[in-house]
Amino acid sequence: MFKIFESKLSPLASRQLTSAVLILLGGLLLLVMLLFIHIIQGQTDINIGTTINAIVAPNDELATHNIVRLMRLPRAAIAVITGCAWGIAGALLQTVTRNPLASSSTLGINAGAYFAVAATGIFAPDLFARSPVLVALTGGLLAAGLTYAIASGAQVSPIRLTLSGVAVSLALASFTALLQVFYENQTTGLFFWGAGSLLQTDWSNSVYAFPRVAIAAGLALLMSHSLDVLLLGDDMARSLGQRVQLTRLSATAIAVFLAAVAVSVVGPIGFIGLVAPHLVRLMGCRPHALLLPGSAIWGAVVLVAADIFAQSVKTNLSEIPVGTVIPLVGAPFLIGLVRKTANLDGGKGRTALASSHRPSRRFSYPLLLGTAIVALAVALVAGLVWGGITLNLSQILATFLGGGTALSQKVIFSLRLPRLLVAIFAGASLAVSGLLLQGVVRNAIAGPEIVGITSGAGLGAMCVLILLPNPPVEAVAIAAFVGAFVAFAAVCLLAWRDGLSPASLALVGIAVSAFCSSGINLLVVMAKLRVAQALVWLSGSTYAREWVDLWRLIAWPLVLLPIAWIFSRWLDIMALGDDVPRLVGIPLQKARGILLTIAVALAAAAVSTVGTISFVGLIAPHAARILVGTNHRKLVPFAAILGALLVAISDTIGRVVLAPKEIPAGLVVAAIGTPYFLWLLWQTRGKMA
Amino acid sequence: MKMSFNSWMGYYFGQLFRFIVCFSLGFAVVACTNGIPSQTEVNSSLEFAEPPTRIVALEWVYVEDLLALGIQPVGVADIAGYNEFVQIEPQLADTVVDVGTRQEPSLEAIAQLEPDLIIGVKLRHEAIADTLSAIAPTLLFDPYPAPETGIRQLDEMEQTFLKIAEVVNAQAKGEAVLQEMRSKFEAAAQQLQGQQLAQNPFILGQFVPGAPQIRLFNDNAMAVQILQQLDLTNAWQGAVDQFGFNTVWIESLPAVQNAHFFYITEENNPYYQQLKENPIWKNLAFVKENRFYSIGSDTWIFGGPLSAEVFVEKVLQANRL
Repeated sequence: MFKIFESKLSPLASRQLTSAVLILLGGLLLLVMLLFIHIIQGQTDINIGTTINAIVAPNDELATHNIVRLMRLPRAAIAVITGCAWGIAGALLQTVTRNPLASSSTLGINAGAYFAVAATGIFAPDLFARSPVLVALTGGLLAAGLTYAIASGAQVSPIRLTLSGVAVSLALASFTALLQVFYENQTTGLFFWGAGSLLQTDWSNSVYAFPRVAIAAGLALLMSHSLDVLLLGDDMARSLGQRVQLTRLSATAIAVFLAAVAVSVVGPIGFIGLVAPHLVRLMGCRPHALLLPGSAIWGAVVLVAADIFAQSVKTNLSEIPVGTVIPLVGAPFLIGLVRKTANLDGGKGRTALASSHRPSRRFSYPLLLGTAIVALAVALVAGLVWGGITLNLSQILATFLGGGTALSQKVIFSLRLPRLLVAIFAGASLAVSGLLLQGVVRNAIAGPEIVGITSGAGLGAMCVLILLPNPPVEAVAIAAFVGAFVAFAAVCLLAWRDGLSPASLALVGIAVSAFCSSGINLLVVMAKLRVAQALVWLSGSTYAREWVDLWRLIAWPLVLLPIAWIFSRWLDIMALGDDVPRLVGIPLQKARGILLTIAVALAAAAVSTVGTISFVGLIAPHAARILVGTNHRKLVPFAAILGALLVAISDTIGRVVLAPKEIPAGLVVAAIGTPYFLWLLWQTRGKMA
Repeated sequence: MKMSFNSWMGYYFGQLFRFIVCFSLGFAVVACTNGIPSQTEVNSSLEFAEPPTRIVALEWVYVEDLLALGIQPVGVADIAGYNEFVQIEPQLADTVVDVGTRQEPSLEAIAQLEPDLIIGVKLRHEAIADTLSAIAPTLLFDPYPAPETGIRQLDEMEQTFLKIAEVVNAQAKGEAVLQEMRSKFEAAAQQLQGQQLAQNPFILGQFVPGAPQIRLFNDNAMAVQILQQLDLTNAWQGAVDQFGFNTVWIESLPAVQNAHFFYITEENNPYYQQLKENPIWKNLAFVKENRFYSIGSDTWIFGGPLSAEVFVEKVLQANRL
């Protein structure tokens, strides 16, 4: 992959001239054609003649002219402006980081900008009103800084930077979601915007964004030569008289600024910064004098095309934001990129997972395990005590002994106990699923959500919910299962190249997740209000789970957790690298297959019961590793208990904090998990990947 | 890799949540439901030895129905929202307990009230119907019969109201309330006869909070059916829809600009605010000729007989202006 960055500083050869024509003129021509389609598209039919008249000879009295001039043209303009901004930002970031997978959201910039906007919108609306870009810029810079800090090590490999960017985005996005729950009223205006819609009601956004993007793009263009030199390597660049750090710093600043401007006017829209520069390079163009304008034009092409598609999906309920459909194109593109990219890890694909946590030597394993079991028991009792109403211990005891009031019987046996047990078994399943995945993928931040299992299950369930008018719960659960396996099988197949490299598995998993998520969002919008119950389920909830849910779930962990424990010894050996298992006679791919199947089944069972609770599969295995070390026979039970503990506590907190209003357990897990997750990433910086 | 925020984990935490909250906000304004087309009522075979008195209502229309019948429920979902959107007399007593959101009411809070009847709505509460039934006998209704059934939303509202009246042993009161509503409609129809309002068709819209969207109601909507009782004609004929509305933005308005525009919005909706400066809006015939009437954000067009009367009164007020 790095080959494509090695530009020759020779004068434009004829081949380059051809590609320049293709990129610039072809791109412009395509853009003009797309813009034409874009402008004649809308809720009312306005014919081409009227559209042209509205542009060349506007008549303020005509509604059709006003619609063209004040809705459709600004929408097209903002698509072009932000498409250009993200395209250039992506090209700059890819060069500066020498990372083919870099873009403004790989580095967490979009997520940071959006979080900053949401937070100031709530806590300091005046500040936000004064300068949205400044707010977004600050957020973007801080997030990028965090990504770098977490990834920093002897050598920043593409995969490490990418995964830490993903992690930072994950954490920030969950913060944003929490803000939206707790400050629902103050953030309502953000939702539509935050979903990445290009709908405009006047020219103000374009007027705001255009000069800023134009100036930044101009500055970037002035740096073309320095950027070309930068790609020759730091030493070479220095010997050619380049001030390498200055070039890097200013290019990064310009890129973050461009992304921040774009996010502040249309919200975070993904993939453009990744796709556009690669399209340009694929057409044979390397020098930045061409790459930058090319990325701008093709960024605009991609965004306008996606918006045409988004608008053409007719729905009675709502317009589909373009940010929702972009991954349908972008995700396959990323998968292709990952497949083409050799040596993504910048090494042997060896992750330092095994050595990244030194076990706590202070406590013996039995003591730790005993403590964890006691903690889980305490959590269970606490979950029975607190909730919408408080029962004291003697009431609970009396109820269990067959006494108690009718109310306490009802609350304990039909409301609290089943949902707590569901929480416990789902938590344990997710935690062990994550542990197995991390072991096989040998990546510290692998989890059911990263390898496509969670969103695959979600998409499967959503399909059934929408295709069948009144699906039985079993059908939804089965569909979730099928979806999880199909998504994960797709990830494995697409990531397969003489075996499964951990890095490509994680990246393809992320891409497939994005694809499934887009599909879910599309279905949600197209199916209208019917899916309200599905949405509750998707948010990860233990709400109103009953005994039947428990019976449906419990067989999976009861059978699979012991099996996982038996096979987990393989993981100890696999952690030592690809060669050792072969030497000791473990069939590596087969072992991986078995462990992954267990992991997928566990996660699918949990997801089909409690929806998409994230973070458990990421956090519980880590905490377990810190406490008990690297022996997987010890890790499996311990991680299971920690996962159970996490979800059970979250369930209780969710019932108590805003009672009688309930917070979905998935969000409480995120609230607890996010700070831990960031701390964890910080701890493992330089060791990851 | 840009999907990282926007789509991938953006889905789990950001975008999905935006959708969820968006939708639940939508629900706050449109008490929508969906369900088996052929029936508007679930487990209608409930038998009561004594008429229930401790009733928990999980949807506002049924809160209102109970109040109209002279019964204060013991528990109501989202009382703050009810008080914000539903303006009828009699009001909810201070003693009524909030049992959480309409979508996910606190089952514990409901159980603690020890009700003898729970009334809910099919879409929201069908999934928890078993649990609710374990707490108390539960009635679920479906205010949005599928268009194929031929049951109009207005008829469903009346039938459900009478059913509730029957369950609580207040049939006479129920009949009287409906009779009063109908005579209110007739009086309003007479009042509007020959007026400008009756000569032009109308459109009825609701601005969606937090998004540049208007729900324009079609002939399937109860609110439109009420206005038809006043001999008014709906100009908006969007695609047939079970819930009775089509979501549009101002691009769709020029086609119906000769109508009177009744709309419901929160005054501070930024997209509504922006319209005042928007030349497309300013050039619409109903804006230029001052035939657009805000009927407030607290006009509950998904309610029962009393809300229907309030709605008609707001329309009459608009006519007087």
